[in-house]
Amino acid sequence: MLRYVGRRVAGLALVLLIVLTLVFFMLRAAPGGPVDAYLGMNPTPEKRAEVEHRFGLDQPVWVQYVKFLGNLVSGDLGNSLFSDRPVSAIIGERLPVTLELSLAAFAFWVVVGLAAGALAARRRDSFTDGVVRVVSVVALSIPSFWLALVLVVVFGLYIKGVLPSSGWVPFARDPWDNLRGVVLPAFALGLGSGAIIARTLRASMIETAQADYVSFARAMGMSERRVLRAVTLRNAIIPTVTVIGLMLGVFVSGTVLVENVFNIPGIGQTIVGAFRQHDYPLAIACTLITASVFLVANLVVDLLYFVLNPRIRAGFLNGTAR
Amino acid sequence: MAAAPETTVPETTVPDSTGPDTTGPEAAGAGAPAPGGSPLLSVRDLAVAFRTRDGEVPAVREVSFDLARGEILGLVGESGSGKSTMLTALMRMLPRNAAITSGRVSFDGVELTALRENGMRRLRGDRIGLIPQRPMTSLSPATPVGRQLRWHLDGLDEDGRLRELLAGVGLGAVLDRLDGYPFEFSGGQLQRLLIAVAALGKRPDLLLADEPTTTLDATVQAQVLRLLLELRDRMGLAMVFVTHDLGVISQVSDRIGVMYAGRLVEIAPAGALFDAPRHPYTRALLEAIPGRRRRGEPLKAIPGTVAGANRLPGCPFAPRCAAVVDRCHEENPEVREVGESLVRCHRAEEDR
Repeated sequence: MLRYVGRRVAGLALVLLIVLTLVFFMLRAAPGGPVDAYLGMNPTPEKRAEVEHRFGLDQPVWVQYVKFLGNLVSGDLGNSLFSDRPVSAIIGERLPVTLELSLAAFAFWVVVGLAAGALAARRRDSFTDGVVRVVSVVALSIPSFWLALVLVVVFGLYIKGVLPSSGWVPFARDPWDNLRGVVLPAFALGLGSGAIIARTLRASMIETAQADYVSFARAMGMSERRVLRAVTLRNAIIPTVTVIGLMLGVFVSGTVLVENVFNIPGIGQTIVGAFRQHDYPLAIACTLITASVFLVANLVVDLLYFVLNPRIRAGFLNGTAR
Repeated sequence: MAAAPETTVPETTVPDSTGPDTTGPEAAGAGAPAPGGSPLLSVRDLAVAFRTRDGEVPAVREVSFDLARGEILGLVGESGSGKSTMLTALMRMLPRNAAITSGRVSFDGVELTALRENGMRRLRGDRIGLIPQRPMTSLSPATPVGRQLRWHLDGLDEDGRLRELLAGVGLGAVLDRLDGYPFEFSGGQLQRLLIAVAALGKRPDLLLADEPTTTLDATVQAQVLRLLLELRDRMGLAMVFVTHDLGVISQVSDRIGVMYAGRLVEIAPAGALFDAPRHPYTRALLEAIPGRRRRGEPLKAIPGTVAGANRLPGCPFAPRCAAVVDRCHEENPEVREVGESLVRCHRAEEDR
């Protein structure tokens, strides 16, 4: 088990390195550059050369790359080209915002999705089931940025003062305002994922309900409620966990859109700015963070599988699975 | 080259037709209606239909039989003849698109078709047990086997109770493996575990066994059959034993019912059924058993399939019947008593 985790973490580091390398070269291959973004229109050649030197861009690309790798290994992500602050400090400010938003959306929509899915499956073909099915299809087909825009318009123009539709209040300054501010973006961020969770759980519960082991449990006189909890849900949750894991990946890209619409100073907003300005160190750091979150989430899901699925667990214990 | 059936076919699949002495002690005396007193289970004109896009399809029609305490009734028939559906109907666990459309099922004086779901649930397991067809998939794959035994049986943790239960089905060796999951057990072990729960642990009055041996290999099959017979003798439970294997059924049943296209076409004491089959379908089934015919003779098969027979007017077997007459296509035969058999055939009384 420990060996497995170790191997997975090593693989994860390799993937990160590949991703960062790709981003490193793609940034430099892209038209334009930080110098143009920094100096604006028509700078003098002398000024250009000076700034290029300051950014270290006058060196050959492979030298830049080796330097970058060296700094990365020693944990130094460099300074932002524009604000000249350490990139790690910027990430340290912005990451908690994105994490709070994502976790709020995650917690809310996992609970809602699971509840709706279980309810729909249990009352299959009822009115409740119909509502869950229709609402989830609609929710799935709404792009999160569009929903975010609609929410901004509705709560910014028509229903004023109920929930803030833009900006961010840090939790430390005013917890209540902070939480109120999370509501709308979290709602927009996770709606589609919540719908997928509900639909997946519903489908796998309905499938599980037809399994032989459910019939046998009922034939032994087990109550419907206990069958549902101990047998149906326990087995139907396994495929649903995969979907929940994928949802974390969706959140990574979702925050980019939602943070920009709601003007929230998180990683999603930072990453857009960094790439637009060709702020190489900041862009790479943001990529590192989002990729790490995504990869770690995947690892956690795989480990959860290990907990939930005895077959996989046994495979590891007797060495048949790799 | 035709192989000698005596050597290649496992013993359990060769029915012995020499006489009632091989079919259990009660077989000889058992008449067509259940012998002695009021029956434990009494089914009258039971009908089950499936709702499909093309309308209602009958799966079980006009099935009537009685079952006494301690008696084993075997039900044979081809796939799709309605035997499993009937068991599910007796448990009131039909799939969502199926329902009992008419008939009565009286169990120990209680009318099951009129019972509310809650009352039915109290009977399930405790008074009417079920041994499922596929042991490999009948326990939840995500929960240790021991915990699942505890779901269904109280007081297992008392001294020696669990040991006794497992020993009762010859599974004493798995006692220390009960924290394992179902996939870590063999099909035969799982089937015996299920029998331990459904029969030994729950001690029901009536046990419904839905092809409990079809997924097992021949030696395990024999062990399981012996176990079931032993439990009947020890606990006096009545059993409805469904299978499509005539060899198996001849070994365990006191009486045998033959189903075709949802109808019970013949029911007779086991010995009588094998010695003097009255229905042409029963006869054809017996003819089709390998090993009953002389070496070198080709095996007989019944021409055609059972498909669609539920919808025909008249006798459902008419299209495949060797003894068919015009009347068979128009009029569904009533039940007649011929010898020890109850038969649905217009020509049952004719001596052929």
